[in-house]
Amino acid sequence: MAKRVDDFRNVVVRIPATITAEVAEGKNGFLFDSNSGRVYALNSSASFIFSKIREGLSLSEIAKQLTSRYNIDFNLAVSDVEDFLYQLKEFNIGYDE
Amino acid sequence: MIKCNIAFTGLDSTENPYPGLSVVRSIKDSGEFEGKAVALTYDSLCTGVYQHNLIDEVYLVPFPSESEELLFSRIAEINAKTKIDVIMPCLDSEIATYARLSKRLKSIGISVLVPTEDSVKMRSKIFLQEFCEKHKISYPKSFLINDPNQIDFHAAALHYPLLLKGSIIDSAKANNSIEAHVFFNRLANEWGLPLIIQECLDGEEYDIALLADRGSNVVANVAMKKIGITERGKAYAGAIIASREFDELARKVVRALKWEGPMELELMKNTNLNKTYIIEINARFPMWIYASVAAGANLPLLGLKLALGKEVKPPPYSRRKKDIMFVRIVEDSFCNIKYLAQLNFKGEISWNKVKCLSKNLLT
Repeated sequence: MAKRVDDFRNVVVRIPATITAEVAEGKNGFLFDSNSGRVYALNSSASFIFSKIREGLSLSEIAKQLTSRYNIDFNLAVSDVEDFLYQLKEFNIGYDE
Repeated sequence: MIKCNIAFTGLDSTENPYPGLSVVRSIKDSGEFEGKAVALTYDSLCTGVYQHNLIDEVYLVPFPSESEELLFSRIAEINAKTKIDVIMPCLDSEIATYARLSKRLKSIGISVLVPTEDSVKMRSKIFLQEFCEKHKISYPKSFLINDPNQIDFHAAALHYPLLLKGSIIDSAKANNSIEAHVFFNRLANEWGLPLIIQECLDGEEYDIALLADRGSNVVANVAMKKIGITERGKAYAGAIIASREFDELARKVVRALKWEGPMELELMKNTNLNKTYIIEINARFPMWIYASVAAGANLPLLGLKLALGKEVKPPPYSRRKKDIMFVRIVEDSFCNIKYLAQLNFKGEISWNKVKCLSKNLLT
């Protein structure tokens, strides 16, 4: 399950070495898992979040940046980041540090 | 540089292409081979033999099912004209024949890297379920059937859709009893009995190409996830992957079969059940084997070295290339139709001689 907001602020997500990513802020992205052979398409906001994860930002910091970039409420941004993280974990392509 | 002549089979490249041309390309593109690629074909309309940029000589040979003695005599006759050092058979249906002929071929100076006839038999579709059960490997529920009246009985346990498979090659997915009976007749007429009736599994499809040495050790293997699949279940696009689970499965199967030579393992992985099923084991390289060159482990070239008795070192794991995908294309090529006539009447074409005499193969 995704973490509650209170637990969530300082979490940093790590991406396994088997993941190759083609992501850029504001553009659609692409992930390839060389262990399972699965490919994943990312929309622009997922691509934004993933690029920030890769920069090593905490999830709370990513939510803040998402808030300003997309002009959305912070709690909604937290929820979006949580959902994305949940999906990464579901597909074994991201884990909490 | 390896100086020798190699004979290849399985060069047809139509809607269900065989791996022969890919094996030739892998070896010729290695830059380590100097010699002729000799095509052995059962059919003058085998499309790959007209690829004169890859094939140097072409010879018609009799089907092994007609007479192994005739096949051996024809190979000996060809060998007297063009010295053949190695035969690399690329058709499932002929591997048992080459296993039986390997000693006689060796006596006329031709090496063939094939497993024993018993090993070939153990992994055949007829015995694969028994093999998998014995070695605790997951395999889809299957039954052998000899009569169409058995279909409905087994379908009650397997449920539709289900698969009907020929004993050597070919399969069809039946969605209901009527389709199953139609497919039974087609497959039985084409490939004989028994047929296999099999449950249709859910999951993601993977494939492993591997090469085993004479001690049944995996020299190298390359795994692929099918990401584009034709109506006949063949991959036309795939992603090369590195999976320790599949490496271990490859070693287990090779040891259990006492295998030697090339192999293709077709797999279905159901992540919900956390199970990997073996669907088929083919006694040759797969059609996509040219991708092994891009992946950093040229399996056909390593197979050639093994067949010649050379020492072969497995390519280091670290040299495996990641993030490789392959796609298959179809393209037309041309030559004058007289070469089809020549292959029919003379039983051979030397593309090298043709190219020396004429720069234009359309005339």
